[in-house]
Amino acid sequence: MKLKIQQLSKTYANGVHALDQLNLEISTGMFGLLGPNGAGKSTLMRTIATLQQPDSGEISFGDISVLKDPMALRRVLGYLPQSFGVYPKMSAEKLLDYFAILKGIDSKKDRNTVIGEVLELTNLHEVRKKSVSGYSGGMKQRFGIAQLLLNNPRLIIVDEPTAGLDPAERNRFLNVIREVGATNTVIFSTHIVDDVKELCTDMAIMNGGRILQQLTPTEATDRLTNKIWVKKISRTELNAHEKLHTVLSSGFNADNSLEIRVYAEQQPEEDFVNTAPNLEDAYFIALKSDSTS
Amino acid sequence: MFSSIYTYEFKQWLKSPSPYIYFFVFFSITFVAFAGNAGFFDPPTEGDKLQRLINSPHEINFMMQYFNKFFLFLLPAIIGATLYKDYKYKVHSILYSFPVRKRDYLMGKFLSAFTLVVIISFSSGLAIFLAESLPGMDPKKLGDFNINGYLQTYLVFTIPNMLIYGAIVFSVVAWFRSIYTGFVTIVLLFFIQTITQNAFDGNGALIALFDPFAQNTTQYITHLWTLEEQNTNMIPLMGPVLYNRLFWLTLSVITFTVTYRKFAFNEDAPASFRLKTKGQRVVKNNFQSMRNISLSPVSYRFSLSAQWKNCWRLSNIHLGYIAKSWVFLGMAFLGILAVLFTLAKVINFEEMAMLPVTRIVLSVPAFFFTGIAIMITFIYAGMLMQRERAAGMNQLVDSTPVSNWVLMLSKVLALVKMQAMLLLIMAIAGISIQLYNGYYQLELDMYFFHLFVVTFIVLIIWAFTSVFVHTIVPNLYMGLFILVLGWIGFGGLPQAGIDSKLLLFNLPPDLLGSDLDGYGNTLAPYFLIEGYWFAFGAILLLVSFLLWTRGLPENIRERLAIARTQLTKTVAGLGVALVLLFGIMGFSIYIHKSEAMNLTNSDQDRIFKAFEQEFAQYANEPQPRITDVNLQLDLYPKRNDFEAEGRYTLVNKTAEPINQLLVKTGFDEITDFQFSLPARQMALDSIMQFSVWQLSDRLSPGDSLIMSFQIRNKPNSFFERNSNVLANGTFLGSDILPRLGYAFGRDKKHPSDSSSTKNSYAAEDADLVSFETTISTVEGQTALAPGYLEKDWSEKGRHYFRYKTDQRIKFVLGFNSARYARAQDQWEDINLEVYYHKGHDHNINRMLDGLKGALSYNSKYLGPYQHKESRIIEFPMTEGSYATTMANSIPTSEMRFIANTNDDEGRVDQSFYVAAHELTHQWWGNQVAPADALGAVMISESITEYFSLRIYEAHFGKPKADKFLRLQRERYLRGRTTEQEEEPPLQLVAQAQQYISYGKGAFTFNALMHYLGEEELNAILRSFLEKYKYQEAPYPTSLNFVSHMKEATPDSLRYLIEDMFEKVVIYDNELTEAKIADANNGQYEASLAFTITKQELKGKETISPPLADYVQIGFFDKDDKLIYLHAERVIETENKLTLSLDQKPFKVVLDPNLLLMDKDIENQEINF
Repeated sequence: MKLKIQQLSKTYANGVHALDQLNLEISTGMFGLLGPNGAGKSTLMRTIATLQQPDSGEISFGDISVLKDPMALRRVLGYLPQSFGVYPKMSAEKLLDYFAILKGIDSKKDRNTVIGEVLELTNLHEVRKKSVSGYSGGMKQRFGIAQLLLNNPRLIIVDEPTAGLDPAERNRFLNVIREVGATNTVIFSTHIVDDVKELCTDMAIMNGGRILQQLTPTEATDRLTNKIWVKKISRTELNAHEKLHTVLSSGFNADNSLEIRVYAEQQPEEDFVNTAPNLEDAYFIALKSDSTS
Repeated sequence: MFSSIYTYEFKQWLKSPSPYIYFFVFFSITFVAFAGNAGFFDPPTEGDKLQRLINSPHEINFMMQYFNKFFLFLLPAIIGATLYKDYKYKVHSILYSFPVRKRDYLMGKFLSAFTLVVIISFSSGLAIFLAESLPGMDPKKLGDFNINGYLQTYLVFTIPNMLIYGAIVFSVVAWFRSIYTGFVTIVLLFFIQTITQNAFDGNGALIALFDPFAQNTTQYITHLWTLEEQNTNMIPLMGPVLYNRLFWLTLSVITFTVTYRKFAFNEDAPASFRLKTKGQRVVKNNFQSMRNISLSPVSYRFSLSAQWKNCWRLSNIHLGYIAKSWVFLGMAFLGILAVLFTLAKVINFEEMAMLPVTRIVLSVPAFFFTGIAIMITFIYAGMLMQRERAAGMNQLVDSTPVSNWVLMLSKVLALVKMQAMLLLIMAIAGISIQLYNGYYQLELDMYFFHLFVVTFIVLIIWAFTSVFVHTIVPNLYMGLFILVLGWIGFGGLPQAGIDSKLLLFNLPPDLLGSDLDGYGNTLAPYFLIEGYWFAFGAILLLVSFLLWTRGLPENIRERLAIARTQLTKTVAGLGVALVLLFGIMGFSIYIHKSEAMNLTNSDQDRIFKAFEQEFAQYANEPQPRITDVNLQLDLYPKRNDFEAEGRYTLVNKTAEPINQLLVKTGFDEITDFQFSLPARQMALDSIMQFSVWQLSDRLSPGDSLIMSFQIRNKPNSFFERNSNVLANGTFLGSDILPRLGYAFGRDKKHPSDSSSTKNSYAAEDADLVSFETTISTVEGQTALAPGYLEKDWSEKGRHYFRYKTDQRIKFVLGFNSARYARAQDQWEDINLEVYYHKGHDHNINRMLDGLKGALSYNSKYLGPYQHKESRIIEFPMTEGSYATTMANSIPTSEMRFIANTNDDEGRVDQSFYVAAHELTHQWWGNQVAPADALGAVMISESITEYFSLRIYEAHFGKPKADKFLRLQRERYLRGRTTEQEEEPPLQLVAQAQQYISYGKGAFTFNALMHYLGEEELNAILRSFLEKYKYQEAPYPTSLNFVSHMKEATPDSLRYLIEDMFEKVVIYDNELTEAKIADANNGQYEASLAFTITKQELKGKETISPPLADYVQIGFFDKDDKLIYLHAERVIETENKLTLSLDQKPFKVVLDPNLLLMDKDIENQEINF
């Protein structure tokens, strides 16, 4: 099923265009939504998740018109917001039962089956009797996934889920998401490029309420073959280089020198060395071109 | 640093609208309340009665104490919030890492918020100050401006209260980091006040000390102040007020200091209340293999029935959350305590202790508990509405496929279930108390109906309203504030003169009930009014549904846009239906209401003035007297109607011919009447039901005529019953009957006015009358009237009773009908009967004992009882709480039948006493009837009350009689505090001044007995009785009595008779010193010092007359037994005395027999 977004706009009371005539089409599979903080990702996610009203535009998922019939979407929706809390002093089991009721699982037996399965899947079975409000960040995110899975969703929206997770938790989290994404539409917003690289079959880069670029991660890097150059410079030379070249990123070496990555059709200078493009390059190029245009 | 925090916080507050709103609200409420009390909305008072000055220091303090309670809610809202907002917005995570000193942070915040609260509290003072100079105030109610009243109130009560409880609230919020705890603290303080009031009942000093707000403290000091004193005196600060303030201040300082010490700039609240479990090293599994995700197929159902089921399940989860929270449990527990204490007060109340019958449990205590339930509803409506948001779970919940109505109704349902739980707790508590007190008549049906039907509706409507307010007002605290204000505000509207049922939100009429008649016909109007408000509540709920916050709407515009999408056809249809229902019920209330003629006070005044102008000219027209009464009365209990037909014989007992007849018929009755002689109507006032008839031939002295009449009550309306005929428990009085003469608006005459002796105090149109009646009622009920039952028979499904008196009686009649049970007894050859409601048999024997006690004591000292029988007849408490005497009948209120007479706790046996008192009236009131002048009730009530005391003593012994005497003394002293007129001496007491006729009367005659001796006093009283027995005009006056007393007493006691009957004398005596020394010869020497101050009230003056009074001094042993009584004639104020005793006393008491009226007798006792 396809998620189609057309001409979606939203302006906040403080004048910020959070969404600006946004168009997007997302098919089954993992979709990465990449963008810096404040790009409008969360607004977009929340709007799709029926929690916010756009000023104008259309959203449809399969034959569901999301804005006209939000309830129909909610039935197939799994949503994990950027941050969330839970009722204090309630165990994972009890909370999941609560969500299962909200999600329309009528029979107690069915609820128990599903809850057992999602607890197993998210590796929370052992701590199911502990109150969720006392969970660590990773466990809480896993609980978020557990509640999301309860209604066997077709459209899953996860908003910056890996922020603050340790590497093991992150891997575990991404693995679960990957599994879900095989048969469903998953929208995964992040500002961490590696998440997208590891996970997504499709992606879009977003900033200032607009989609800057939509293509697969491989396409994005393939387009940059032979156009990324690196050079080792001293710290003081950075400003001069930035004036001359499109510097995408810079990173310190152990000897306190800098390695800069530059985007150029041809070798800019002799001491620039051609290197393999990565997704981060594509991300920065998209952002740079947006700010210069 | 301190000053920058202080000013920063203060400026922050000034930027938000709430302080201005609070100031404005308090200012307006106070202004309107003060202006209202000062008679701004009423016409100025007339006459020269002393009015309570509304701006005296005492009154300003009284009023401010009331507003102080509102101010207390500012403490969490401002002082608590000033700290809480750092936690709420998680600023504390950053802030607490700054180099701020604890002292600056805490003190800066506290003091800035405290300053603000104090400024807001000035709103009320300012309002009163400005209202004082408002034009149009009643000048009689307004004294001169006195700044001291304001200063005292603010400096001693208002500001210290804010400081004391502000510090406590601040501490609590700092501990728990929750604003709720601050709010709950305030609610707790209110409970503490209620609890201290009840727990220390009878010990004013302790209540004064422990009252958190010092409200009862001032009450304790001033409760015996007369109006004059209230108008002029400042509240003395030394003593109880000081101790109270110090006590609470200390407690508050300790709380604050502990908090201050323990307070740390930590991320989390100190976990002082949680037990730490043993620590454990936790390592999680960081490595894990891949998994396959395939969930078992389950069914998802969204049908309507499934949604309802979900709604029910969700409500249970919410209910679990409420039921487990300690705030709920704590408040429910305190609610139960409040019920226990209020009930304990009712069943131990000195003047009229009640048995814990179900109706009593369900009255005041249930009313209290309902208030608490409403409060809990307000709080938990807010908690539930904010629950997801507060936890941060709203986005998760809002994106699930659950309908808004399911979410909303699940919360409403949870609230309603919580209320049901509270009501169940109330019922269980009530039943437990009944069982504990040995009352085993469990009336579960009454509990169920009153709590789960009658009370529940009110609570449910509040649940709807709370959900609505918390939906509209996103700020939880503001929502609570609005709800509390609305609740109290609507409750106060009737006092402001707004009493339209259509406006008084969720304020149903009080359901008056009695065991005899159940709810009577109050139930249908109740349900109509509550149905009306229920429809309104449902409309509010529908609006809440439309405006339900789902997701993250940015502003009200967006919420309205969402509301439009929610407005489906079904919803709109439901809305229209509800509005229609609301309208129809409102209209029918309106129609029913206007059926009943409702006259305001000023209307009545106007009508009466017009009447007086036209008819006062007839006031002195001579009238014939009613000598024979013959009545046929038919009662229709089911439809609350009666019909009567009757005949009076009227005799011209005057010395002049009579030309005109003045007839006044009953207000609520429709009366037709005819005369046996030709007469023509000359004038008629149809509202006052008064007409003037001209006789064609004048009625010569000694001649008579017959007046026949037919009476029925005006038709009953839905809201108003126009007769006292009840389905069970009818009690009709003589006021249904036509009367003769102009008997309006006349003050009682002075006994020296000889025209006052023409009539007895009982009637102006009759002396003693002969009386016979046939009274009919439905089968199954017994109908009763004065006289002896001649016969009774059944006819056409109705039961007829024929009563006739064998001697002439006072023209005061009563007619009762109910399904009575009957108890019988005998005293010598006199038949004693009690007609009572089945189940009300707790006190029957005590009543019979009272009758017997009175018969034996009075027959011995006063001569024989004049009837062959005496019957006590129960009437429902809705008709009054009194008892009265009508020939051989004593109609007695249900209240006396369910009185708690368990005498092991030193209660006065009200059932015994009332029976004895009423029977004694056969001598004092019936055998001798006083003239219709001031002082009449001295003869009828004071002497009766004295005999009741003697009868009580003869039956129960002296200690219990002393208890009774002490109550009479308090009754007098308390009654004086509301006296608007100059206090008269006993011989000029007016009928309404019961505190004098009963309280001072019993006290005075009892003292007289101690001076003269019981036999001697009773003989003097008997000789007075015999002298005036059955005398018609001229009837005896109080002056006749006093001169009789003077003749019969020795000259040495002449001053006593004058002090007691002709003057108002109060003493202020004190036993200042008492020592005991062993005189070595088996004798003990007691040296005493005491002061005697005698004051006489003469008009507005108080003078100190010279002393030459006998004062008693009593010595008691350890068992409180009198071992030596000394009488001393005192001439000086300061006295020293040495007495020798042959036994070592344990204590000495000045005036142990309570012969001298003294406001304070606690300083007249010293233990050795």
